[in-house]
Amino acid sequence: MNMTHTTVRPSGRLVRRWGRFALMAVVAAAFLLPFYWALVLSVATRANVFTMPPDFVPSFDFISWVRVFAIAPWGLYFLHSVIITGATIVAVLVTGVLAGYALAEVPFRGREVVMGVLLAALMVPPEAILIPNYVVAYHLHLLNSLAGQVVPFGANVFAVFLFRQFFKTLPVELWDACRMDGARWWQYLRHIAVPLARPVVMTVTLLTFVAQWSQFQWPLIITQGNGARPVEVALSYLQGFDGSHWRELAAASVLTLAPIFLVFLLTQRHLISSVAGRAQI
Amino acid sequence: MVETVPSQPSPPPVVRGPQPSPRRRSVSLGWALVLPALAFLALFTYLPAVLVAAISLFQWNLAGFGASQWVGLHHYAQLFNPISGFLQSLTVTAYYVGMMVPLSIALGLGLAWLVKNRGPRLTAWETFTRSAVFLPYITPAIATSIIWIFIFNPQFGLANAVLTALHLPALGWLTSTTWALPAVMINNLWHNVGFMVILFLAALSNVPQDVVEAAWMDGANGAVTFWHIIRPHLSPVMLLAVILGTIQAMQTFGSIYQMTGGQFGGGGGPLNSTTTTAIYLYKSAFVYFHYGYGAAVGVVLFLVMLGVALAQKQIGERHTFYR
Amino acid sequence: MAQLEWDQVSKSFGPVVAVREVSLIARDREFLVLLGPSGCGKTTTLRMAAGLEEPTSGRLLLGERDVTHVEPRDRDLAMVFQNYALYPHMTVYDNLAFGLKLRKTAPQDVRRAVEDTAARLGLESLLARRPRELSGGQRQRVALGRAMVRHPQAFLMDEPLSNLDATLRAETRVQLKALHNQLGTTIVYVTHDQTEAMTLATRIVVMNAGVIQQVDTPEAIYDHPATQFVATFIGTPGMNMLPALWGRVSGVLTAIIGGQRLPLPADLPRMHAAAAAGGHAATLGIRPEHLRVAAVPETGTPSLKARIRLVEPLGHETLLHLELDPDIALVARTPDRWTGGSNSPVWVSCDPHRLHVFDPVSQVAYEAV
Repeated sequence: MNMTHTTVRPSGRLVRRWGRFALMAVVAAAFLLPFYWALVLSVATRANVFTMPPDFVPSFDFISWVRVFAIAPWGLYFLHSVIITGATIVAVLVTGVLAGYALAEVPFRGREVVMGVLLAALMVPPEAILIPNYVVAYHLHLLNSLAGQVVPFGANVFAVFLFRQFFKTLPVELWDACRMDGARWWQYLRHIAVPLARPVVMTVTLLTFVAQWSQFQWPLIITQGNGARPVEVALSYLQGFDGSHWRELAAASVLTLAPIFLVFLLTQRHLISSVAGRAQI
Repeated sequence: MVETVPSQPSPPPVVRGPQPSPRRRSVSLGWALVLPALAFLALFTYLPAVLVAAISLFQWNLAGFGASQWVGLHHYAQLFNPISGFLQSLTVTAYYVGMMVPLSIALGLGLAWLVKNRGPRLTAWETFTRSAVFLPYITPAIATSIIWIFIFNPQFGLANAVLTALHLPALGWLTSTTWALPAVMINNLWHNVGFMVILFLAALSNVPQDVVEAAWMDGANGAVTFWHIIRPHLSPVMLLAVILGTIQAMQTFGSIYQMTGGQFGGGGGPLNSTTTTAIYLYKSAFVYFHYGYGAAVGVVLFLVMLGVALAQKQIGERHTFYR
Repeated sequence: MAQLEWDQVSKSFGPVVAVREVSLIARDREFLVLLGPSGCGKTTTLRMAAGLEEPTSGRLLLGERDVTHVEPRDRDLAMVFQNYALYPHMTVYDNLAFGLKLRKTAPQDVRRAVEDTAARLGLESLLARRPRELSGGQRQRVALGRAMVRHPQAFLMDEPLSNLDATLRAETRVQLKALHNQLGTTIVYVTHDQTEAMTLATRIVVMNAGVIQQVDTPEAIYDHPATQFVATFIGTPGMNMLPALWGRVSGVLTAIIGGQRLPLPADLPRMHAAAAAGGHAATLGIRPEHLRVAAVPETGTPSLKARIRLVEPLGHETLLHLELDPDIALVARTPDRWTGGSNSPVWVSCDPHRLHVFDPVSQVAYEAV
């Protein structure tokens, strides 16, 4: 806009640019540091753990990785978590697809009521109904079981609405064409609507995975012993049991984090946009 | 002379053929399809939402109503007796929420601004920093809290190493009634701010670039531009961030539990300095097995959260410019 | 037998009547075209035949069989949609095969049927592609193939060419006609394009406001429109309509149009029919191509004086927009160039035998008795 401005700008801009890069590098490092430190601790030698200042150079001693499996049946906990997470994903997808399809494309008496009832479920804070949930699980004999960690999360209102939203965008002619080809509604769902809804399936899968893998309070109160204990709860007990074994704790933490890291690396973009979409509802 | 032809009686209104066709005639199919979802929710959302109020009126025995003893509003009276510690847990929660919400919004907005793409495309650095900031948000809270317990270890932890390097006095952190809750806050800020960043990034990308440039051309500096041009565009998201941040903070359990000695009596220590209402509820029911009393806490929590959401909505609607 | 019959079929959407009391037969091997402006109920009529809509009242018969309440999958009909409605995530092969697979056809039969159909439509090289990788014309052929592959009893087509550009549409029209000759399958075809209707149809069904106006061969529809609607809808531009009074002026049958007298010869059967019905008012219809326009009055030929409002030279012909008086406009079409100016007086005449006569109230044509 004026001469002085244009002459001053280039160097000022350069400083700002590099300043911003430096700041981004610091921020990224700061946010990743805890993870890195956990990794370093998990492969540290005994002498490298309790030092001041902390030692950030890994020493590649994998003894704690061996020992952590000796302390507790991590394979079993892992298996529990995988089963719980997998089963919940399937349940949420099935209930979400069916209800979403009904609410989008099947006119029926009381549809508006169902919508309202579903929305009302979003208003109920899970924390507040922790005790009655426990009471219900007790009477359904779901305590200390894997099923007890799936059923309470078997339907997700958000998933229902995501599928409904998507199915509403499908042209009516696709269903018409399908009917002319001889399809029934479930064949249409199976062969046409759900395959087309792949991004939504992906979103629901990722969000359910992240939520279930991190599930803590509910399994904490309903599981005892090793019968149905998932990794997060096992980890919590490990720390309570033996808080001074940092290296083993770090190894177990890293083990718990690994699937999340892996999924994040593979589906980063989709995962971030799923979380963003979840917030908007 | 000749009149124009009288028009024939107007034809019935006609619509183009395919209306959104009733895809299925059957009424029952619709219900059958929503039934599975409703059944799950009925068992673990709707029924409990009613049950929580009922249970709160009993000295609850897991065997059911028959085995439980009716106590009426006794539990509610207890709640508001200062000896019970419930009121203190509300104070702790208010402190926690009151710090977490503004801090995570401020930090989230700042970080969003930092990693916002300047050009038409994201640079590798921007993508990487975004990922680094977002990653903690999806990690399981116990696994990361354990790392933070290391960090806040008074003797060998990173936190005190940093303080020492800055020539500041080392702190007791999780062993201190003053610093335990801030330590939890730092963990959760790190853990959750990525969500705020995602929220604000979406909002920032909606700020029209030409308006910002026009402001620059008019000689406005960064602060002025932010306050007068960008902030109004953010206000709807700001409201969302406040509501979601509050709900999230009020329900925080795992990290507090783990960092404040959950495995040694249910967390909330030292000396109840970190006993938020969520921790208090948990301990009432699952450490002391007072289910009925815990349910009363649940009812109050329910009402408080509803009230907060409604109040924030009210205030927000008055102060939101771009809806 | 692939005869399709609508028997007194009506369809309402809530308070709105889309189709009222349609009775119609698509004969075996016939190419029946439902023609009308948008919203006339033609698509609904077709969709009821498909089973995609259920009639509010009336019956649908496929051959001798009552299919009114039969699901589409049990009717053995195929449909081609206006926007093709191809399955976007499936290859061309899978699009064609889907219906066969649903019917539990043996895999080798599916393969053979798909390949046959693809060969017939020149789709062999496209079988592995997905719809979004195809051009509009290719998609249209896939949609056609999806209908053909099952060898259904009849094809139902809902404006299948309207998403193609003009050149491709003309080409495909020809191919479609050839295909019909080859396959000999009954086709019911919905369009709002009268050129398609005229060129493709064995018979045309003209619909308006949910009611059938006329069912006849293309020539008969053109030459003997049954109602004023048909007369104005068919032809580009449509038939001119002139409100007229008439009576005998000194013994000669005379029409009075816009205050001008047009003496008519005695041997006009349509006129006699109108006259026999009584009344002194009628609407006279004349096609633009049957009007003669002259810059000077021709002696001996009865003519009306008009004024030229607009000249539209189209190259192979010229359209003259005329007005008899401010309320009565008409269009004349002449193969010659128009050399006269516009806004000048002209004299319009015609062969009186080309005149159509419509009842001004019912708008129904008087035909020779």
